[in-house]
Amino acid sequence: MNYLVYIVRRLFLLIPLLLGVTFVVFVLTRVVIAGNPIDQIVPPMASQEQRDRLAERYGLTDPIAVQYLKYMRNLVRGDMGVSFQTGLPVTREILKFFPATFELTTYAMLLALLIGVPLGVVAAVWRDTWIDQLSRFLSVSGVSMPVFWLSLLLIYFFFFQWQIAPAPIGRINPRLVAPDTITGWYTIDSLITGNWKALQSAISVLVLPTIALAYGAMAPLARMARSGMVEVLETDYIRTARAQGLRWRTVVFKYALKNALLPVVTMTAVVYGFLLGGSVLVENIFAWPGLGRFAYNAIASSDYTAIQGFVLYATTMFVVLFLITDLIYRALNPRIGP
Amino acid sequence: MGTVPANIFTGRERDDMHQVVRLLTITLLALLVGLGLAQDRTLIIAIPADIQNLDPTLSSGDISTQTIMTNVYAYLVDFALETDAAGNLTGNPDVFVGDIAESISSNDEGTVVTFKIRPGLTFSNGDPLDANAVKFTYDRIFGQGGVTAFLTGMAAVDGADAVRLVDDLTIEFDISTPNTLLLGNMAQFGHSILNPNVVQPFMTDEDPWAHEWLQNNTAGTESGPYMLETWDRGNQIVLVRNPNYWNTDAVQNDRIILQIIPDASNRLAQLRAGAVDIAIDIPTKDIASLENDPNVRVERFTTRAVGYLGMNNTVPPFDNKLVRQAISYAVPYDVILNNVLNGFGIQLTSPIPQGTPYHTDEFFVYEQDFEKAQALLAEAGFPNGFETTFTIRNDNAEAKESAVWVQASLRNIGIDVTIEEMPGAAFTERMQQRNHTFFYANQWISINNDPFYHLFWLLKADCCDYTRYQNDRVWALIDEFTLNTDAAAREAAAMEIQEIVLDEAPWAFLFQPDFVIAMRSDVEGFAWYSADRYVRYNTLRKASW
Repeated sequence: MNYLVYIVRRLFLLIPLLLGVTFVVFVLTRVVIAGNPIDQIVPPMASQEQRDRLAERYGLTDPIAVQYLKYMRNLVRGDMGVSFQTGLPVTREILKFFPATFELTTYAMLLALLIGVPLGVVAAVWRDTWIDQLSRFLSVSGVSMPVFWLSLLLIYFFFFQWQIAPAPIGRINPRLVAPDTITGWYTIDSLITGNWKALQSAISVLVLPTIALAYGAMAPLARMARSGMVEVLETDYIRTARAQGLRWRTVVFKYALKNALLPVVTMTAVVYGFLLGGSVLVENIFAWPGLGRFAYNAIASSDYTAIQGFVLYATTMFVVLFLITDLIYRALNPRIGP
Repeated sequence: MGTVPANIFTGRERDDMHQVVRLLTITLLALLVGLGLAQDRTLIIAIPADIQNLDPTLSSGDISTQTIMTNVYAYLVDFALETDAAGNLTGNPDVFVGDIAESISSNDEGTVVTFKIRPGLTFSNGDPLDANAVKFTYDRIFGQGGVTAFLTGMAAVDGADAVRLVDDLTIEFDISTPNTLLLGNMAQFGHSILNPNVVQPFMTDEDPWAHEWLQNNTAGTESGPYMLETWDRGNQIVLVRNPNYWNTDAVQNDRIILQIIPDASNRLAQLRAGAVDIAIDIPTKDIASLENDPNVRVERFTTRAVGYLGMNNTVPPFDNKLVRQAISYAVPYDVILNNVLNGFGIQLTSPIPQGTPYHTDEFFVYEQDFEKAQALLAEAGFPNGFETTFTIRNDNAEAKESAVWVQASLRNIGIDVTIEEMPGAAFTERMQQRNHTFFYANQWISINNDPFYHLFWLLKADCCDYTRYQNDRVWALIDEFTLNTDAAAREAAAMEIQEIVLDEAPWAFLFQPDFVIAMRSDVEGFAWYSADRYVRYNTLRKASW
């Protein structure tokens, strides 16, 4: 019950936050970002009359304050408006592109955790040995290597030179039909529907972009895991546990890890939230139809409603992730009550 | 920080840990699986961007979208598809044939044009495709009042009432002033014939012409070679053969998959690896890397697109003809052609591009000559030059490179140029307001291959005379000869206009870029349509089919 109250209270805090964000974005798109969206949706020969008609239809002729109030009124009803570029509701557009980003990002995050955390832990356990050096090398290169460069290298070697990876085109081999949409994740949907060809293709095209994203995401996780572990392994209770003759697995996994991983949980939320905004570079290079490209196109074409919608989505995503992080924190560390 | 507690584990325990790491590694490697491909009569084409808005009469200006409409819809008339001496297919921009029309005829005065529709045609869903659908289409065009309506009106078809339904297979267009523009203005996507049975149910008081539905759908109203099977936004567009298309036997493939691959180097890599059959929009600097690849063929065609440096004719010091001439003598034409376009283009020598009737390079005197440029600048009252700003789009690599060359050259005659990069949308907005002072323009191509149509838009129209050029004699000639059928008089007028415009130098004439398309060597039948550059998919096939 306490948890429930806590969650509801946290979600209520979203309201003033989103209000502030919508206001800032609304002003930014219309005042700071130059460019008239109408110019982007009609050919250059279009008459002024036609342009005016469209501007009126999209409500661009009202004063900014009125536009904002109308926008907020619709937003309360869950309507983020219609994209200038596509004429489709922005909510629908974001839902369309979200699964691609969600799927890729989640696998990348899992891979990053799967490698980064053990790597950090092992590096901490064998400090200053070769494995620690390797961990350091991977972390530093993960942070400093531009993701587009890594992506191009991966494509060049795995696809082009050695031909062991499939063509980096989107979420599935273009000749195959995408699995029926259930969750929006191609891997899961094809598994549920028993579409093995699609499953194989979906997994194989995921590999390279997942590695590209995971490499950068892994670095901060490994560093966090290492420093957390180093700190914990030096505490008295660990020394005591070992002195009592407990097996290393018990010591590391049961006693040390739980405490060492607290900062990793926070870092995971930060990195995950960042990735869920979509990576324009990775999505562009791998022709991945995700939110990063959606946002990029929206900005490039001054598509006000789409930009606003995207920022709202990203904000909400962060808030929700941090809420989940706090809940996990509490589960891991009962000292922090709700 | 204390010492390392590494010694708290035994060797056995370390082995255990290693095993965990090893297991993880093996799992990851197992994820790397290859994949085989095979399917019939399907071509995969890599395109750089998604399509936007499929309403034929209220579409956006982007090439991807217009290409799809061109392949999905049929019109009354189309460009004649010809085979040249070398066996290449070309859509002749000056010769028109019936598309769904079986015959096109005109009365002697040229005031009535009659289209006879091929009998027994149907839309993709089986509904009759006849003169009633044509009438509905033109009612919609004029009712909606967009660019298509303007272009039809420009050819002296004065509104919906001028398009008369005679019987189920006959439709007549009344022409108030006989002219040569009509068919050229009609052979394009704006005139896509639509199915009233499908479109009408979506027409509402709020949206009287079903724009919202047509913007995103074509199902059942396809009249052309293909049907739009899927449009997976941001990812892929699939077209399948329309079995009801009147000329479907001539369609050489069954399915076209357009895969959106935004990154140019990825498009290139996919093509070289054979993952796609055709790649659109490959940067010219990358073409050289394809030359030694026996599996890839590059085709190039001179376009009628005009690339120029625009100088606002109403803003000092560019309002001074001598200044514009001086700049025209200082521009490094050859360098831009060879180093920026990498040789994929030709010098533009007139406002009327090569390939359009009555083009001449007789009056093009400009070549890089700093002494002459300096003398002109001194005569104009700027012996020491001046400072100015040159504006370009920040997403156009060619513009950026050109800007640097222009800046370096103009420095030689004392003109100090600051390069201003603008985001695409902001650049377009200012362009459309005609408020750029000194800028780079390389996009325009006139879909109607008529010199007066072309001159009207670029040197006179309120929308697109981006340099605010104004000359009473030139404007009078454009007015008089746009709607005129006297070929000799039109030619004389076109010559006079070219002479005046080249002397007045509202633009520095840069280039006509090539259209470049790269495909696998076994892809055959590419047809080049110089009128609009849109790829017609129906002629494409693989050698092995």
